[in-house]
Amino acid sequence: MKRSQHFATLMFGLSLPSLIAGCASKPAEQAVTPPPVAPAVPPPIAPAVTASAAASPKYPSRVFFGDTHLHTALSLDAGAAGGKLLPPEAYRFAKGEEVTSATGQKAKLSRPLDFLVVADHSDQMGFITDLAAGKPELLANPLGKKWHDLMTSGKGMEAAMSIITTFAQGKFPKDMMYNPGTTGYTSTWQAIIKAAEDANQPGKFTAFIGYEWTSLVNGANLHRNVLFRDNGDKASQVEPFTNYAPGSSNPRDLWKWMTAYEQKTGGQVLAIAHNGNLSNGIMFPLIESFNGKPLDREYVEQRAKRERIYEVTQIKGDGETHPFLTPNDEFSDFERWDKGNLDLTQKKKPEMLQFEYARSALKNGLKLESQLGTNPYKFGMIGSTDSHTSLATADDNNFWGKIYGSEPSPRRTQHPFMKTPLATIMGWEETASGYAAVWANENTRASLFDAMQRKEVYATTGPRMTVRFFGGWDYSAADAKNDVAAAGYAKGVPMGGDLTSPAAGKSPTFLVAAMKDPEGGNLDRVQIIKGWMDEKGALQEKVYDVAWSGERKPGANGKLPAVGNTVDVANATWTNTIGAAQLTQTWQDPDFSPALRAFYYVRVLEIPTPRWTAYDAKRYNLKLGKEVPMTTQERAYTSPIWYTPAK
Amino acid sequence: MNDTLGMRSWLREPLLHFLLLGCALFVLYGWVGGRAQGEGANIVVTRRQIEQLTAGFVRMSHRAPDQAEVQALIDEAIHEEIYYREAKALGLDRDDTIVRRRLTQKLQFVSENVTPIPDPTDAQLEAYLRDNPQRFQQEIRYSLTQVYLDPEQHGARLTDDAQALLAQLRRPGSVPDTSGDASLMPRSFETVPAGELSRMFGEKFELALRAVPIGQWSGPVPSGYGIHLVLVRERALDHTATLAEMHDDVRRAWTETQQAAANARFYADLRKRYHVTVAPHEVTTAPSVGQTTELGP
Repeated sequence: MKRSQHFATLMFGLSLPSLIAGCASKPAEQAVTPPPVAPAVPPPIAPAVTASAAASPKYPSRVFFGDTHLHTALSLDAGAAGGKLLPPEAYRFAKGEEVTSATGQKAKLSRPLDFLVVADHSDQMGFITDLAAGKPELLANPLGKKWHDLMTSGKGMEAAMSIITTFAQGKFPKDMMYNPGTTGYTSTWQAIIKAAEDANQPGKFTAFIGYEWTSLVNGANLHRNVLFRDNGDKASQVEPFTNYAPGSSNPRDLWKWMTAYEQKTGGQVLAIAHNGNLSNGIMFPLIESFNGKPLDREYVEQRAKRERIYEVTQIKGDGETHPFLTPNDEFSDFERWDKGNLDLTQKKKPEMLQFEYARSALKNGLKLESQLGTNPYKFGMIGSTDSHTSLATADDNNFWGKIYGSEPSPRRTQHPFMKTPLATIMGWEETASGYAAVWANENTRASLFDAMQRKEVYATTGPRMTVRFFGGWDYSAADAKNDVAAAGYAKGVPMGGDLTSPAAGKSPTFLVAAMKDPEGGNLDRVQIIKGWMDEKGALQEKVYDVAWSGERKPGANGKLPAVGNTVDVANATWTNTIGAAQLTQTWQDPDFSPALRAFYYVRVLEIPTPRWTAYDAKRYNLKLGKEVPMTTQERAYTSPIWYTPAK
Repeated sequence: MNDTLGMRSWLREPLLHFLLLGCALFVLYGWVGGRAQGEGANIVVTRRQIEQLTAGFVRMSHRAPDQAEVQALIDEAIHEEIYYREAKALGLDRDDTIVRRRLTQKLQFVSENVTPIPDPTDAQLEAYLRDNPQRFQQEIRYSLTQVYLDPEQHGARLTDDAQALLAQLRRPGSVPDTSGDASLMPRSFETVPAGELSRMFGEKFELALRAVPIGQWSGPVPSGYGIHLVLVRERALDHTATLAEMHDDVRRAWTETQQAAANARFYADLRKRYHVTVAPHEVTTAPSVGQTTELGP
């Protein structure tokens, strides 16, 4: 009963109340080999395919921006709430073409993306669009007919409620189930593959084949996006893994599905988890929620192999860290969604947080590695939108919201996004975030996929910042003043890499460089965040400011003063009169001990800029309450570089 | 209606046609047999159908179903078939706009499959390209070297430093590779499209490059990062693509156009068989729904 109630609400990342909210606010009607551990080798070399790289260096010279997590109307929740656009439109929009949104508005990205994964929910995939289109097999069922009639007579909200309630009560007719093996499901999956194949333009735009596995356990989010390295010839040999029969909600079963796919086809897939913040303490466990036992060797090995990157920031909140976990980090209170689990049926408790956020998971991973020999949480970081509108937007001045009901309108900020007796999440709490940045040799499925597997990726909350991060033993101050990439690859490893075997008495050096988004805000500062396990086995962390704009000096408390603020909220503008266009630095760990496991990642902060709510207030002439933040400090998080002592 | 267009475009997929046709034949000949002939109460599940059901299971589960699972698959298929027939008997398919629209689509797929569009010759594609130049525009492409000056490092001296460096670069034997400030952007580009330059340096940078003289160090040119001195070695103007440049795109567009024309002919032929009478009526104009809010900075 409990489980079935969660069916509709949790599997889709949206609850019944949110669907109601959405409707009500309707405006105007192979086995992957891990990278070598020790040697500082550059990634595999491929000739540059684009004509842009003049001197074709033997390492990735270009960062590609994209979204690995976008839903179309084929997802049950998106379609039921009013979504209309299908995968072909989603790809066209990502390529920079103008489309008409489900609410009838013209939508266009200011700058195209380089790649996109359409990741629709694998459970009931395609059901809702077939229902809307009146597929005879569905109309043959009286309930299907009733829903269809409601949808076509302008009573979409009533239809959505009836569908969701029927799911929640476990009364969904079996003959209308859209799960693997049924004709409707198969043709939907084939249509998704077809759309990706049509949109894919090697060297110019990559359209990945993918789907979202939507695991829910008592309202807790364990979702993963599954992304194929392969073309349709391989992907079409299987059907997506589902949460409901014949699938499972246990990630171990997803990993088995992935292994089976690779063995069957010789292809490769990867899985990306997201929204640990809505998992109520089970996304990065020490004790497995499914059996109540401590993680075992098989779990940590499979997770390390299958889930090499994590989606750390998206519309349903940012997941780097939480003020409760990192009270001394003045930038940790950023776009937090911490009221409860995914459907707000269970409240959040502080003790859950360390198993939900990326930084604490990276730390717990060090401990698990010391116990089990493998670090299951040795992940790189990316951002993506999880938008359900087919529109992959993360720019604050061009934000199309989470779902139909949160597409641009004068009401979307003040309308509840979700509401249960336990808590309310308002529309303004949606976060205009994020994108995945990938350092790859060329813009192809294979090249981007391989870069994700070696974790040479970073997350941004929207801006197209360019960030390099290298670790090694011999970087000099001069390396930061010349060609950072050349020195970086020659003398060390890029983000996502490993350091071992220091020369006696040496402490690791890091080369970091960040350039602003050419159309965005200047940079405030670059920080390196170190986590380590001390001699007593306790987990520690520290945030270092390593480069910043202007003549600021750290205060007596060691904190660098704030950069300032040029935002004119009323007009939703700012000036780049503060901050820097680029920040580059060589940094050496002042507290290194060669005996202790550690990781280092970079956080880049922009100067304050208007948040999407400020653009809405200006555009629609709104007076928003004091609780609504109107400025934001956009940021980027790189994949860590890990130091592991030799045995 | 976006959804209809979207559906239609991927419903043209041959595999889907195959599946749909397969389903239709499956239903017509394999199962129903003949409710129409008075055998409406008979349902025959053939060995072939069971093999198909089993194959679907294997595809999902990566193993063969056991006895009970095969039975469940068959039971489900029978259940579906009975529902389908009963729904039809109840007339649930009649007077339903969506069912009618769906059947219309199906007929279109069938007609398209029966009369496939032949492969075009290059001469046909050349002619198509000539008649539709606006659809096949190529972006401006640049080959250039850029030297960056970071405002943070030069402060008030930025413009003076840029002029001094420009004079230096114009002298023979200058070394652009080590001039100016380091940045994460490449210094040199070969035939890079305008859009890509815009994404890397900001739109105003690319716009300014359009007026820069060829083969001569120029600037300063502003970008999203600061200012640059540039040597544009080549600027290939935007132009209509040659067939060699965009063969696949032209071919796709040509085929779509031919298909649309073939569909129109098919309809015109059918239309001739009907005598149509339309009642006199007045046209009332309704206000348009939908907004056209443009979002942007």
